Amino acid sequence: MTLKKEMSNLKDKLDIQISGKFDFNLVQDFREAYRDLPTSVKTIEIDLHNTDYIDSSALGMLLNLQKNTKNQVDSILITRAQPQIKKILQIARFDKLFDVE
Amino acid sequence: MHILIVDDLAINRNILATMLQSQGHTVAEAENGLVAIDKAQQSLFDIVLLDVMMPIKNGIETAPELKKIAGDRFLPIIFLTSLDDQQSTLDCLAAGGDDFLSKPYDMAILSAKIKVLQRTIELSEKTRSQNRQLSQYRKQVERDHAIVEKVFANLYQQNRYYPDVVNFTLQAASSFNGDLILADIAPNGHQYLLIGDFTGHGLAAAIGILPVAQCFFDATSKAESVAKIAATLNRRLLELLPNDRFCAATIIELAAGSGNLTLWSGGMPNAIIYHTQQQKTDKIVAQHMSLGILPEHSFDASVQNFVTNSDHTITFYTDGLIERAHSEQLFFADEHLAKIIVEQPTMGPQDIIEKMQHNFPNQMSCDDISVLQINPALMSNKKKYGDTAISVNFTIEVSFNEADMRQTHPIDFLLEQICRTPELQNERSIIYTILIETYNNALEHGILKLNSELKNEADGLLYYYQQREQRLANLSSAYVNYVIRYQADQKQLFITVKDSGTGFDLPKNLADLNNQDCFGWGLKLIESLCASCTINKEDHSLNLIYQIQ
Repeated sequence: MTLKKEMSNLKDKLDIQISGKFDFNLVQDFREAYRDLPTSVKTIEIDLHNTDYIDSSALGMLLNLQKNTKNQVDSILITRAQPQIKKILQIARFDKLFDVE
Repeated sequence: MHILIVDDLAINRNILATMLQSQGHTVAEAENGLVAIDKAQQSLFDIVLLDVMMPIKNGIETAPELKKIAGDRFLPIIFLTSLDDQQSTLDCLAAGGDDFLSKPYDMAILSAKIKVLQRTIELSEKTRSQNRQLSQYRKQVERDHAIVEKVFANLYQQNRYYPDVVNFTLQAASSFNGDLILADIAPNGHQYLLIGDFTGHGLAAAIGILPVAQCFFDATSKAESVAKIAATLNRRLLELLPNDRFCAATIIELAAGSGNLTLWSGGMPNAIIYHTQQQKTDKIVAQHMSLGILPEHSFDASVQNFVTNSDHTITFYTDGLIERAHSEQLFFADEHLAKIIVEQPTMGPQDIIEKMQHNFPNQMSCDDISVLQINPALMSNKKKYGDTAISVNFTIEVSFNEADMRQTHPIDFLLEQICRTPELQNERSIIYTILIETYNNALEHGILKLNSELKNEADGLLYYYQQREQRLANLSSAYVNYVIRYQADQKQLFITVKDSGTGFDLPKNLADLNNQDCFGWGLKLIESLCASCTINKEDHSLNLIYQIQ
C-alpha cells in the first residue's frame, strides 16, 4: 500500500492517490498529507483507482479529513473507486458527505 | 585336461593313459560305450578318445550320446581307429567325431591334436560366455523396455477426448514411438489436442514425450491458451533436449459449444481441411519452426484461428505418412493425400495410412506414422462450462495467536484460502472488508480494550493506533478464532469469529450510529454487507452469513 500526493500548479487542489490497501497502516501518511494545508487549497481529490481493499479505519481517516478541512475546503472528491469499494462507501453513506464519483 | 579313454583292450588304454599322463593330463578309462556314457554323466571331460569297434556299445553309437550329455558345451571326440576305408570315416564324422587317431599311436601326433582341440575348446568357451552375457543383457533390456512401455501406456491413458470429434492412430516404427498424440478435455469443456513428431525414432526420440505430456496436461487442467502452451513447451524442450533434437508439433484447441479452432503449428506437414458439401480441400500450413529450437525471446507463439461453422473434417498427420510418397513425387505428397481424401472422404486414420502404404509400396517405412482426424462441428453440442474451476463446499478453521496478530495482516492468509473458489474470488474486496472489520473489532475491542472515542480527535486516530501497537506488543496468550464455511449450492459464506477477550457487543441500535463519528463504522459495515449478523449471548462470538451475488 502506498500513498502519493500531488499539489496542482495553482495550489488550489490536492490530489491523494492510494494504491493497494487503504487501512490503518496509512494513518500517519494520510494525516501528513493534509497537515499544514496551504489556505489556497479549495478541493481535495482522493483517487481510489488502484485501491484493492478498504476498511473502517479508512472511513475514519476520510471523516477526519473532512472534519479538519471543512472550514477551508469546498469539496472533497472521491474518484475512480472500483465497484466493490464504491459499494462500501455507499453503505457508509459517504455519498452524502463527499462527492463520490 | 581331463580325458576319457574308451577302448575294450586294456593294453590300448594303458598306452594312451601313460602317454597322456606324461603330458600332464588326467585320465579316466572305460571298456565300452555303456561305461563311457555312465562316466560322462558323472564327471566333466574335456576330450574323449573313443574306439570304434567295441562289444556291448560301439563308438558310432556312443558318440552322439556323449555329445548330447555335453549339451551346449563343446566336447571333442577323437575316434581311435585302424579303419581307413571311406565309409567308416564318414560314419565316424556323421556320429559327431571331431578327429581321428590311427593305430599305432604316435605320441607327437596325439599331443598336437590335443593342442588343436584345446584351442577350439577355449574359443567355444569364450563364445559360450559371451552368449550368456548377451542373453542376460537382452533380458535386462527387455525388462527395462517393459517398464518404459508401461510408463508410456499410463501416459496415454490420461488422454481424454470426445470420441465423435476426435479419431487418431499412432503407428510406431520400432518398439518406441517418436510421435505423440495427446488429448485432454479442459475444465471449461474445450478439447485440447497435440500431435507431435520428435526428431529420430525409438527410445531416444520417445523420451521427450514425458516432459511434453507433463506440460500439456498441466496446462489443459487450467485451460491455458494455445499460445501459452506452445511457449511453455518450447522453453521446456530447450532446457531438456540436446541441440540437434526438437519436436515438430501442432497444438489445437476446439471450443466447446462452437467448434471454433485455435492452433499453433510448427514444423509439421500441411494439415488438410475437407469441406464435405463442396467436396474440396484446403490446407493449414504450419507457420513456425519446431518446438525446442528458438530461444525464448525469438519464439513466436502466435496462433491461427478457424471458424468452423459447416461440416469440416480436418486431418493432421506426421511426416511418416507422406515420407514414401515424398521420395517418389517430391513436393506434391500432401496434394496426393488431399486427392485420396476427396475420393474417399469417409476414410478413418487407419484407412488413410493403409491407402498411402498401398499407393507407395516401394520402400519400407522407417519413420513413425500418426494421423489425427477431427470433426470440429460436432463440438457445437458439447457443454460449455464456466471459464473457471468448479466450486465446492468447504470449511476453514483458523486460530490466530498473539504472534500471528503482531504480523501486519493475518487476514491476508485467510483471504487467500477463501478466494480459491471462483465466485468468492470475484467478491474478494467485500469479503476482505468483512474479515478485516471482524478481526479489528475482536482485537481492538474484545482483546485490547481500546477506546474508540479517541478517533474523534484530529490526531486521536494516530494516537489510537499507537496504543494498539503498544498493547499488541505486550499481549500474551490471546487468540482470534475463525470458522468459515462455504455452502456452494446456496452461495452462502458462514463466518464465526470468537476471541479470547470479551468478544463482540453490538450497540443497542445500529441505525442510531452518529454519521459524524469517526468510529463505530466497522460493525455498521459488517451488518450492512451481511445477510445475517448475530452475536451469541453465551460466548460473545459473532456469527455472519454473507450471500454471494
